[in-house]
Amino acid sequence: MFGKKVSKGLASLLILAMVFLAAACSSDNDQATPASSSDVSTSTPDAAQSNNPSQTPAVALDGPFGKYSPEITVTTVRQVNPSGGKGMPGMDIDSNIWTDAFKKDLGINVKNEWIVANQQYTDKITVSMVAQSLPDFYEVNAQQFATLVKADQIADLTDLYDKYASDMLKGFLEYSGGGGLKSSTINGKLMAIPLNGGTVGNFDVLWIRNDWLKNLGLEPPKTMADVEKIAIAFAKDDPDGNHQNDTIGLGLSNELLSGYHSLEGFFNGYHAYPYNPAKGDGTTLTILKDNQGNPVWADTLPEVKTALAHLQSLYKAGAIDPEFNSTDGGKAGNLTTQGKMGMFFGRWQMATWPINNMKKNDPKVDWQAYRVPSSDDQPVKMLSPGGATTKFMVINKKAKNPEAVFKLANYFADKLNGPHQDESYHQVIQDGETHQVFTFAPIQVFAPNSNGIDNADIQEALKTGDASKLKPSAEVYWKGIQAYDDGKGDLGQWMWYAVFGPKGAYNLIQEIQDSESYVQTLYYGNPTPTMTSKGGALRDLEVQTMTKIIMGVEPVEAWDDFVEKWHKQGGDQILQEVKDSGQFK
Amino acid sequence: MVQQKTIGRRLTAGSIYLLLALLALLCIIPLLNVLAISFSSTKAIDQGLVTLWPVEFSVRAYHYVTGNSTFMTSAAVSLKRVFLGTIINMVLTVLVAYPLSLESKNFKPRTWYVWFFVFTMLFHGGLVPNYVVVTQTHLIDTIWALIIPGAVPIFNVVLVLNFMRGLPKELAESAFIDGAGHWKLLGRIIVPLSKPVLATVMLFTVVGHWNEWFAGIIYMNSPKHYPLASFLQTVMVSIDITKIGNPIELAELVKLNNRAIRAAEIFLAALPVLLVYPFLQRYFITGIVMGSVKE
Amino acid sequence: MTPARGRWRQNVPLHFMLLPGLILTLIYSYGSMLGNVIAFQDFLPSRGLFGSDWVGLENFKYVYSLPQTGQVIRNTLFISVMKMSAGLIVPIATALLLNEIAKQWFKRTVQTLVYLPHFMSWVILGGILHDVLSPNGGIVNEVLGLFGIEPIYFLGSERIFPFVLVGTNEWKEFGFSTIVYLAAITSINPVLYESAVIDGANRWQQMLRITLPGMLPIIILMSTLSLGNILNAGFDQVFNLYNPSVYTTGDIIDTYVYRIALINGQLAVGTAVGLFKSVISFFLIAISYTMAYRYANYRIF
Repeated sequence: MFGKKVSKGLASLLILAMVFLAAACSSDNDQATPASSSDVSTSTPDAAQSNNPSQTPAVALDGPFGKYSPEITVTTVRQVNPSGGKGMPGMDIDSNIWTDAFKKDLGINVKNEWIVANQQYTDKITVSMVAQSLPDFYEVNAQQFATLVKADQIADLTDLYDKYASDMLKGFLEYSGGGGLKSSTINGKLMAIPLNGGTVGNFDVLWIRNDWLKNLGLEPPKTMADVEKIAIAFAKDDPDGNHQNDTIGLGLSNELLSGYHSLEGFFNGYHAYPYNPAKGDGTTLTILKDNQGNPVWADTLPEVKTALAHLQSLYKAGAIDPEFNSTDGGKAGNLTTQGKMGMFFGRWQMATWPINNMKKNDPKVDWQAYRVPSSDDQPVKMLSPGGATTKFMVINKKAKNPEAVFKLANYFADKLNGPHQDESYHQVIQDGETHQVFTFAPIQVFAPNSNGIDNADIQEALKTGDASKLKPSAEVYWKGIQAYDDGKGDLGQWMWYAVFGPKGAYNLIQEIQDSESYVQTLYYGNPTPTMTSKGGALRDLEVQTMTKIIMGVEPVEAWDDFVEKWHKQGGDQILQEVKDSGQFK
Repeated sequence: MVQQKTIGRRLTAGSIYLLLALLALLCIIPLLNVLAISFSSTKAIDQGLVTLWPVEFSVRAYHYVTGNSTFMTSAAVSLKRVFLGTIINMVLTVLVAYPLSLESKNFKPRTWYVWFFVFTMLFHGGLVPNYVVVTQTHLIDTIWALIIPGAVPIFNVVLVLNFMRGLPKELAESAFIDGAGHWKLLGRIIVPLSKPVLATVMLFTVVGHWNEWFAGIIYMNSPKHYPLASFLQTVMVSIDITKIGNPIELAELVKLNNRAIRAAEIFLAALPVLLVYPFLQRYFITGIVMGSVKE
Repeated sequence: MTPARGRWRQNVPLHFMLLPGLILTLIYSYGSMLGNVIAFQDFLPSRGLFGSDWVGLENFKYVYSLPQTGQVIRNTLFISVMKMSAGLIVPIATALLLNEIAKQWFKRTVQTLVYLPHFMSWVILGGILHDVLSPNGGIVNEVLGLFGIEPIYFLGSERIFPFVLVGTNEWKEFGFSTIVYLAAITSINPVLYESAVIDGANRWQQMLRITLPGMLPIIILMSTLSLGNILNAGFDQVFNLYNPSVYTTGDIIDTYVYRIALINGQLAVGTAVGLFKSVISFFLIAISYTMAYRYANYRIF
């Protein structure tokens, strides 16, 4: 009988032990044991094995976070924006907090064989391919991915994925049906780690200047007919009150369907879903299903013609910029900041460009994003274009340690989202400049729908006033919204308010996603051979025809000719290839 | 030359001056626009207020550019490239042009050689084979990748050889009688007399090396080694914003898309060549007295 | 045979002079030319230059079969010929005018200023020209308006666009050629002018009888060299100024190939077109060379 004291002590010990055990079993990344955050190297399911001195070190300490000893070197190549401001002191892309961590925790020395400016990355990869000097792992686009598969130069990752991808990584990649993985799987074999794709969310919204609406005594549009009325009013009725006939009705660039000053939203209002940006490569086609379950190209459906007729009459009424056909995206942006445009369709990102500084320069400017209304009583569905994967991380067939790439990806996912989350690996503010430290990492796989999660958290925080649960990225937006203070504070922070505020554009995106009011391509494979070879010419044909119809140079019936030509000059082949690909839902 | 100063003569002279003045003005106006933008505030630029004169004067853009270490190091790379490249190009141009400028009867293989060189002006491998050759000859990521592949500028060679051909034959003959060989003839007589065309060609070479940007990006393995024109190109070409979903990354990117800074960079990059140009100019304008040959 | 003639036979030094240039050209130009085999392959970059399957003329046939190919070639030729003509008239006229100027400071200033546009890239000029040529507030149309002329939609009108290309290109590049022609003028023997003046010729006659003929070799040379460029027509410029509604007259071979093939990584097609262009240019230059030699006894190079 030791007394109540001892039994109390024993009981407490027991309880503590149970708590520890419970914590160990419930950690969301169950590949990592709750060791101290600096000791990732022992956090493997084979922890017992790794502590066993009789285990030969060189034989991989296996598993998604197994450390190599002795250290191995893997090579890769990178792209950067050389004019991207002053770098972080003490860090550059060759030597930084990530490379140090990889060495220390994973025993991997990551070496960059070359670094090139973003715009020439594709070229540099192509010439490196021909000169046969490629590193262990590197990023490629869809077209290069296809040629590498055909030439049998990259490794089969199917087994490596099962064995070495951490649960968190698998969660990210398999989210929402795993579209990225599907695009990376050829003939049943996983040939790359997808770095994007499989997401839904690039919907158009309708950006309107509320101050112009007020000046003309108009209400925000509830139908497409309202939209058209407003467009005409903005063009004719001097909405900026400067007594000059210098305003444009509906803002539009000659890229037609690019997501900025574009027409996707307009078409969606009429239940049409065309998509083929004039400066794109012509291979991002929206393939839908007809009543027999056969593939059909969205741009050839009859609703497109209906919408075109409305666009044609708008142009005739002077409500579309008569110079739109020679105005590219950049110029359209300039026209916007010069106060010539008051309404256009485009992505939520337009709040960051071009209208981000307009409020700061002129406080009465009041842009707001609205849902695209319907042209009739049918609810509108928005097009989510190009959700296909366009960035693939491939691993050289000759790489000695292909599984190392997965470990790097696992580590990245963990450092940004997992139990070892550390903001100094993500973003650091120094001397008033925000440094995106995460961009130093050689392979970056992000939690899907982070914007959606952030937005939801912020809306919650706006209601409750409790900002403690916000992730670091959401904190930035939150701080911006607070600083903006409903237009009474720092007007330079307007864009965060415009996107994530209570009336922000992202709420609209969320609504569309939650109510599943969107349309997406049903083909999730890579561009087919005919898409690649004929895509460019067909895209030109479409853009030219559309432009001519809008400008009234050709009648709306010309669209039927285009559809016929499309089918004959490669479209039928494309649809057949899609049908035969096995990657059509 | 005797000039008759009639009214008609004055009118003609006057209109020539006027015409040329208008032409010159036409050429300088866009540059003035760029210059004005570089000295204006972002707000004024966004609102489209800047035409030929700065609005809301500010040297902020220039402070930023000259403080940007990448701009400076790439300017240094360009200087090195221009220096080495011009010397090599000029030497090779003269060495190749002189033999080709001789008459076929005096140098039989001449025509064969000339077609050997001219053929390369018409047929090219293109980016990919060029890269393979440069890789195989181990020039990648060195300054020589920017100099060696284009070391013999055929267009310049053809210009120079034509000029040399126009020099009096008596010069060569008297030199040979005096016992000089081809080297002496070339160095002592031909080159000095070819100053106008050599100055012309040197200007083209300097400008060419200073402005060339594509080779700089593709052959170098790090932006730290880019020449100035390559660095500027990456600034000018806008990045496709539609592909970026991260709002913070977007915001940062957009901040850099500052037209005043871009304008300042353009102007600073063009400046050195503008300064070199007047020095070479006098060779085109003043004539040469050719009466040094004794009959 | 005079002793001087014997000297000419000592041609060994000449071969030595040519040697470095020869070797470098062999390696970097001819070596690179071998890469044109890509045009005949089903090219997979990662297999290297010579590792892909041979497909003969498939890539050429593919380009030939595209509906726009004929149109694009016609556009290219039209724009090039116009550019070549302007490229002769404007610089020669400017050089002649500058030659008449007595005040050195004016001459030098004008010469420097007209060379300036050459330094601006088309990326920048594209933006500037969009503003300047706008039918709604652009300077050019404002000036035209003073003369009662209706606004012209320069960059959006199919009919006018090719001429805009020619005009703006000439504006950008004439300074370059002017220098070459000025250099040619300065190398004309002053003695010829002196004897002409003695014979009573005025400035105009001097220009026609002495200056122009004295420039002729260089003029023929520059023309021939630009002839070799006839299928190029200026990718950078067109790319930065055009838009889909002027494709029918403004689309040139290089911009077309870029949009159809290169943007999709179809290198073999791009190389095939490049090869095709080179062959045509080669024939044109060879013909010009032969004609100049036969009929004017003038060897262009």
